[in-house]
Amino acid sequence: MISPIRSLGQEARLVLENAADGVAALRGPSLRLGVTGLSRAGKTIFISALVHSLIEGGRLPLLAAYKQGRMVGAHLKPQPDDQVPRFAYEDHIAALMENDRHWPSSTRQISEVRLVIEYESARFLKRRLGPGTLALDIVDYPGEWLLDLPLLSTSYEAWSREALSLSGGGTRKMLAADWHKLVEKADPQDPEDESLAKNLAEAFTAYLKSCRDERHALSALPPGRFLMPGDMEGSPALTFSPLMLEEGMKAKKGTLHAMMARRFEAYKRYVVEPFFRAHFARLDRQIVLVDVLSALNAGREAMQDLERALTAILSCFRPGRNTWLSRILTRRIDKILFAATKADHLHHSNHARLEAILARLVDRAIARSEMAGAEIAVLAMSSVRATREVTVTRGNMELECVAGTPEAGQTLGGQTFDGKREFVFFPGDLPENPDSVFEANGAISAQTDAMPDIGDPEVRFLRFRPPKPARKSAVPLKNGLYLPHIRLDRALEFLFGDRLE
Amino acid sequence: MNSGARKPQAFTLDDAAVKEALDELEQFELPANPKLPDGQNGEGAEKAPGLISWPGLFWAGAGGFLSFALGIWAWGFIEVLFSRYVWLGWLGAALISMAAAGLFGMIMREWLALRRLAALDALRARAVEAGENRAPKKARAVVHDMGNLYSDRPDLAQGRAALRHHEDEIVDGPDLLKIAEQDLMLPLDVRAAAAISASARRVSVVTALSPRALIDVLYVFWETIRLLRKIGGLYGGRPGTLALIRLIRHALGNLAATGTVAIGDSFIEQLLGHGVTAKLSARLGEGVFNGFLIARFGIAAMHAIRPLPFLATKPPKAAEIMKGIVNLQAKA
Repeated sequence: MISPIRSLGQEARLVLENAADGVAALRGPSLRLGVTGLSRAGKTIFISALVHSLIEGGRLPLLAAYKQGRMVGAHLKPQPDDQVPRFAYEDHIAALMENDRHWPSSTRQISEVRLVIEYESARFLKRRLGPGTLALDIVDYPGEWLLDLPLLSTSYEAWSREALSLSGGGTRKMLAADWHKLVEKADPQDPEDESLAKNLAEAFTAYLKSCRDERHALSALPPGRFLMPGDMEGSPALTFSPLMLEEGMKAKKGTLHAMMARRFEAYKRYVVEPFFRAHFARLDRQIVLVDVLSALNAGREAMQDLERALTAILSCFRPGRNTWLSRILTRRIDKILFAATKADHLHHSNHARLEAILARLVDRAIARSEMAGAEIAVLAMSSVRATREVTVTRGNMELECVAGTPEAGQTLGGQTFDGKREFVFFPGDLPENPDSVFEANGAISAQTDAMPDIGDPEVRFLRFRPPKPARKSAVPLKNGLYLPHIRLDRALEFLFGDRLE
Repeated sequence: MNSGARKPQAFTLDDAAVKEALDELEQFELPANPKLPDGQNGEGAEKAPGLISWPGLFWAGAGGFLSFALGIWAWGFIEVLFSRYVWLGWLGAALISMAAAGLFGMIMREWLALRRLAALDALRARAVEAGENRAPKKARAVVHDMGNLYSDRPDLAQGRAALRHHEDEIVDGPDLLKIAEQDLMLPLDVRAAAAISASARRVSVVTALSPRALIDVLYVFWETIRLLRKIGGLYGGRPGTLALIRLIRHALGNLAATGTVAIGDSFIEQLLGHGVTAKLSARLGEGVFNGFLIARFGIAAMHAIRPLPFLATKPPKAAEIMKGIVNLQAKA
């Protein structure tokens, strides 16, 4: 197993923290659910929908405890980590459901929520012994930060070379042109210079930001704090950039190279490591949300990039089967769910193909986790379903379409939507063979043009506004409002259904 | 796939070609008693080899000949009656028409009962097929037909209402069947299990107390028939005589298929568990044994008539039924 943490002392500290968690769990069973996903993958929506459907009730026929009527209720409780802000659940739900329905804005800082589920066990003995509650601890964080985890096992020199070679090809080359000019001028052997470092870092950040644009949807962009700096903006730990380094070059004292390397290490120590230790080394279950559709939209290069990013991130997990001792000392993630989000952009007849593409994207991570004994599932889901399904007859052909309100400013075939009217939309067919979306001559045409709508793509997905909250009389709801979803219940059953038995 | 028509495109909602997915459901609305496709009920498959069935030939010939003889005899008899007194002739004719009408009614009832049973069989075959298929279309049709089948059952109103919520939602085929099973089958399973349990207990007591072997043999037979009719009625079969015989055959076939497994676990355990009782009294042991057999048979009948296979819930076990504790919760 590749572990980004190599020092024995750090490992010991993790064991201690896990043991402390284990002791705390004696008072009431708890489960740390890791919600992982790059930015825009839908982490915030997933958490909000999860909390909402468990608290308010909803359509969850596949969550066994709920369906069998054993779930008594769920409510929010103060979280165990006092230093972390609380997840703004109420605000997100209000954004989704109130008059000008919109998706919550992207996450800028880490937050946590604890949801306590009250249930009665179906097992006689467990009913006598256990308190019948399960505390779910869920952490939300900017997806950009995830990209940093692979840095933990990299040196500045190796990262520098990798970042430069990555930026030398395809779309990235065009986007990185300004930064490349600066890097070429900067000699690593020059004496350290704060203003030069600042210029380099700014150009580097600009390049990373442009990569992330919807048109390109590139994913592998460490360091993540450059994109989402939070309260560390402008500090030296966030002011560095890769340099042109030759193989085997050692950093001499006082040079630009040494300065950059020092800052890189500081970034790892003060930014990445605390994040990893506080949230990633202590997870019991993991859901990895992947926005496959946006990457498909942007073309082959984005798909390859997504694959690279996911493989690097997933290598930081600690999958494996838990024994009672390992549950206390070295926690392992024993169930991982890979979920392709925003499945509501597609008709359900395409969902199996979407899952095949996702499975192909993460096949290395799946193989590794299965070998370690973790349980894996791949699912196409939608935490909040923004569309409904319709069919359109064109000649003798049936087109399986979705209907919804596209967000204002979205375009398709020269038509720009105003965000008010509902449209019926045929997104195209996903390829039957998942490999074809990664291959050079694949069915999906790469859209590297400046305009997203130029060319004749095989598939195209629009962003839809959140759905009008529905009232379903016989669904047992507290306030009568209901957020539709696709397979959210199946995801929940997989993630913690066994703990509610 | 590369033709231009399947390119991404947008339509307005008032486009005439746009059809809501919900309407699609109505398309595969089938008659409540769907006709059997050929060879799907297993019976047809049995008969398929061999053009002439010798027993069939015999029964057809003998039956035809006998009814012919009976008809001629009745005709002659009524003529004789008319020749004696006219009113006697009319009386005879009225009686024979009543008998004929009754016979016709009985045949119709049997036929309908057989058809209901066949419809249940067909539904189960389709459910098994739909359960293997992820696309929800077939499963939706099965669930829809189940809704029709139980549309006149006030005791399932809640289950039907719960099911209606998933109609326009995206649920995979196998999952939809599991939901339908929990909504529509579970309430019936509980009652079926209770009926089996009551029967088994009665048989145990009667066997243990009856002074003569013949009495308990007759009682077991009668109780079996009663139990089958009850289970059949619960799941929507309401068997007549012929359908009952067929149901018994199905149940026996089911027992034969699973019997060895059962003997392997619960049967022996059951005998051992009651070994002390059996030593105390041979009659008591026999009673437990007979009750156990009835329970096994009732469960086999459940398997044979239930329109959905056991997917999300586990079937009751004979041992549980004998102990009077039945836990029909969904599988872990």
